[in-house]
Amino acid sequence: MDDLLSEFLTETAESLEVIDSELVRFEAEPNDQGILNNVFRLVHTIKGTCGFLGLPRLEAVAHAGETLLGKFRDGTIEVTPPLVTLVLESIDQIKALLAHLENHETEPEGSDADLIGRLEDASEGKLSGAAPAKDETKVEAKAEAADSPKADESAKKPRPDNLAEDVRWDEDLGRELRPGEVSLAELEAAFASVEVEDFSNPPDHDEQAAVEAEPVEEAKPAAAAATSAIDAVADIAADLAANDTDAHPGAPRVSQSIRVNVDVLEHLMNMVSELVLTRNQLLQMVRTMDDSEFKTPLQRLSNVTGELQDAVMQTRMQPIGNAWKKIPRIVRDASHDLNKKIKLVMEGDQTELDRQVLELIRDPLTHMIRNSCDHAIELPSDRLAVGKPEEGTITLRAFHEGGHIIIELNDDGAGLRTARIRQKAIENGVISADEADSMTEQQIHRLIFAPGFSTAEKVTNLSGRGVGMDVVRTNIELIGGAVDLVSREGEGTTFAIKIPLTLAIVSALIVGARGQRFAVPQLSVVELVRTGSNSDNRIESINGTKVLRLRDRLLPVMPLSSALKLDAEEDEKSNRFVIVMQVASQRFGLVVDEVFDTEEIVVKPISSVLRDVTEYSGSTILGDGSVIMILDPNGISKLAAFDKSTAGAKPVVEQAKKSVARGEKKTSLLVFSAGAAEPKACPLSLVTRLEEIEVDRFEMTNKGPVVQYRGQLMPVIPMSGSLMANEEGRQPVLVVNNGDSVVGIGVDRVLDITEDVLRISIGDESPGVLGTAVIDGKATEVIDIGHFLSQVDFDWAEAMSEGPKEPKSLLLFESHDFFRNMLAPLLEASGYRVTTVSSAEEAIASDIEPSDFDVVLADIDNDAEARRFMEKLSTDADWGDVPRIAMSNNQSKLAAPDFAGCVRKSDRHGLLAVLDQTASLKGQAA
Amino acid sequence: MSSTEYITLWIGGQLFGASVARIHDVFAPTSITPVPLGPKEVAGLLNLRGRIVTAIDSRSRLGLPPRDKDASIMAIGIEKGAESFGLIIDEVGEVMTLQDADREDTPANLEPVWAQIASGVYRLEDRLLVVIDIDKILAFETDADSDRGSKAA
Repeated sequence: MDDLLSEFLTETAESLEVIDSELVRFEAEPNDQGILNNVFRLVHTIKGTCGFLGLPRLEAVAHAGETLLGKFRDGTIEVTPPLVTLVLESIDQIKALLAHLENHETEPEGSDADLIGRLEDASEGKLSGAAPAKDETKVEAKAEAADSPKADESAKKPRPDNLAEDVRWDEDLGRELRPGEVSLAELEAAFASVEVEDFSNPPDHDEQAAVEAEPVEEAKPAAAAATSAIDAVADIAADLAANDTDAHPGAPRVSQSIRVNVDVLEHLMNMVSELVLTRNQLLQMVRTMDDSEFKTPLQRLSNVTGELQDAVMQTRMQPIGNAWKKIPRIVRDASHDLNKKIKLVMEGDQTELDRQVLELIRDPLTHMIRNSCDHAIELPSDRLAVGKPEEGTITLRAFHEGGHIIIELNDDGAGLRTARIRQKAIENGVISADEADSMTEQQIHRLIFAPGFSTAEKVTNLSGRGVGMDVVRTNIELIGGAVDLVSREGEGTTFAIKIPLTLAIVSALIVGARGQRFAVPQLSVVELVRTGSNSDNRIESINGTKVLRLRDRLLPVMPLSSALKLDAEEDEKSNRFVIVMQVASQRFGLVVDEVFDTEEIVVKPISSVLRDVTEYSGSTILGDGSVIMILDPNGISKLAAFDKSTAGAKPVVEQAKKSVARGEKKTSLLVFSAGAAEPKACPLSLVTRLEEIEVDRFEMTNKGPVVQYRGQLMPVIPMSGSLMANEEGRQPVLVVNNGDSVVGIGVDRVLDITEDVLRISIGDESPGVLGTAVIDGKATEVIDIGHFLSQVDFDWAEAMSEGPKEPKSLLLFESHDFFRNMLAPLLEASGYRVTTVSSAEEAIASDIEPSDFDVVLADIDNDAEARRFMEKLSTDADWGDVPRIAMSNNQSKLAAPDFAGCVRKSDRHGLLAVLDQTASLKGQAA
Repeated sequence: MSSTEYITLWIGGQLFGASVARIHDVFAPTSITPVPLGPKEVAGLLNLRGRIVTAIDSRSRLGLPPRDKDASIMAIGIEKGAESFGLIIDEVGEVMTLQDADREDTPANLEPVWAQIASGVYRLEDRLLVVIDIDKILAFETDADSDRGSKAA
């Protein structure tokens, strides 16, 4: 991309963030001219740069927005929420245009006439709520006077007396200024006043401020009744002169700084890390020598290195406020949309943390704020009814605490409804009713972080419209953080997020097992326990599973040596310590032979060939120069099957075993048994949910067994011919969402969820079986879910399926055998007549006619094949009338042109929905 | 006539050649940290002048028996993307310049693993030299350690 353009995009994006939050602040304090001036300046800068870069569409929108802001500034038009919304709308449009610009380097086609029209109407006071101030001309004249350049230089062409007062005159040009034009004098003043670029602001910021500040100092106010606008501008001039930012709290800091590419900083950071490691090595070597002449210089080197490290770390630090910039706007929009009154209080936005962490915390935080607005804060009337102030308050607070940053998000809303969470958790199978009874209120509240707690709609919506709190938790834990909450019903909720300052250097405990050393991130270590036969803390075993008596609890423990399959003899040194670790809500012990010390380590990413080994999060070089593996507490906990959700399943690491090298697509597979002993499998994406339904909940109808499931009747088809192998107990059911209805498929036992390349090596003619594939080293029958769906009595299917009214015919182009075999029955079950072609050759050879089809569904993962297939289609103009839908497993391909729609292969619901819409398009397009 | 410079390597009694252009350095690996649960081809990680290098054992990669415990080893350093690898071999020989035209196709009856990593063969006077494709030898399937399947659940 053009350097100039990319610079512009970066700067403008920053300006827009500031504008967003400033505007919201302005709406609350419409009399604060300082804020308005700031916004006006930024919009003006954007407009000016657009014109310079030849971006007419952007310029037009910015100009219209600026005009309206100008009227606000002049006091011509009163500030009202609808008008602020309008300005925000124009900011959004600018953002949209910028996004397009970033991707395509050109402005999108089209026009913003509507938006501009509305902005112009608003500027002329025609929009509702925009009551023009009374003495319009007078005020404007005064404001213009402030803007007009100094008039005392002889060489200039003076302003003609007969000119209307509100026309801006440029003495250098000898003509009127066109709208949006800046006089030469102003420009010169601007250039003269540019001193330093500010890191957090576009460079034009200072210029722009000067443009407005300069004339004020020299121009004579037109009237004695100098307006507040002038005062405000003068204020800014004074502020700038004193380089004092405190006068405008919240306004961006102006300081001496330069822009540096992030890559440079990263490189610097890496080099310093290396330097630190080398220094540690040297120190270790010299320590063993008595009386070395190196001692003094090395001490000095050590100090300098330490300071250098601190300084470089500092460059990566940014105030957390940068991650908060969007939040005022989000809260404002949410409160408008929801008709709530919400006040946002942000404290500690100068608290600094690592840039990388900052980026990673942004999304979870935004999500949590949205949640608070949406669910926590009640409607004003409800609040008044329970005696709370009408306006709800959300407080965001950040502070340092012992090497961590704590972010607290507090609301004075309704609080979590314990009873409802308990009920929902039981419904969704997160906990059993028995478990729920024994849980404390706090434990139940924490269930909102549990995977699978989200509602069914959210789970099936793969587009990710609503991410649940479990995703928030996962994201926070990914960066070594933790999240917890305290909630009181009726009083509000406080979330506390604890995140490390930086990801680059972590404090780690060095432990040994069977003579090998490993690093354990200290963050997840709760305590160290010494064990032994004569100690209070003995390791005992139940059926081979080891547990530790720790105070009054039993703690599941696992020797690190067996977790990592280290083979060496146990000796008297073995298993002397237990590291008690906490991963999410799981607490477990890792038994090690030795504990050495703690060391600050620089985490190096793990080699690509080891990426599948989830037990390690990285490696590092210790002070003595040796390489050491860093254990990933998450991976270990899963490996050791301490994690309840994977208990019984094979260790995750084996699931993750994959053949990246082959470059083939892996499929998540559900492995289960039904009937015969050999395992069966089907792609996990086809299954909406796994349920264990108590056998006595099944009811028999003349059409087969049904069960009441989430408010509707779900027919259950036994896969192996008979349901309820047990008279009592629970029946595992794969719940499959078929359009709007659900169908259950009863299996004997769910064995595993695994990821593997699905290659059906032996085809199978028997109904319901696609063939046999090797999954996890075992021959496994791959089940055709579609077949079982079609087994549901037709009346049912009819009643429940939202498929097309009269069958549409569909041409399925899919080069992958598995997907073709899977999709065809599925589509047929949904009411399509399906013709399949597996290759471009087949499509060319067969006598398919465009008139026979309502829609074409084409796999575009196999590039060459898909292109040839498309070429075949383009040979006949009639194919142009048949809408095409592209399918891909590759997210990045989903923006394919030439297609009416694009869906992910695994997104069955999306596929059916798009098909349904598109299939009815044929003919209309012609 | 174009020619290529090869560094010759001995792995399990067989002479190999690797294009000098891809070899970053040759070193004697010391204190390799094993990676439990890692693929069997990964001998471990080592520190080469402050960088962490992933050591790949050529013998296990080629399906050859492991070398004696105290046999001396050498390694060639390879950069792939942003990562550093060390291919552990038995011995390093000389650098040879060989004519590209003399290179013959890999024999069809070669074992699949060998055929995969070999990009040709030279008939030297006294023996055969197998040309190693460096990228291929570093790309291996990491599902090799299927012995983990027996892990107690």
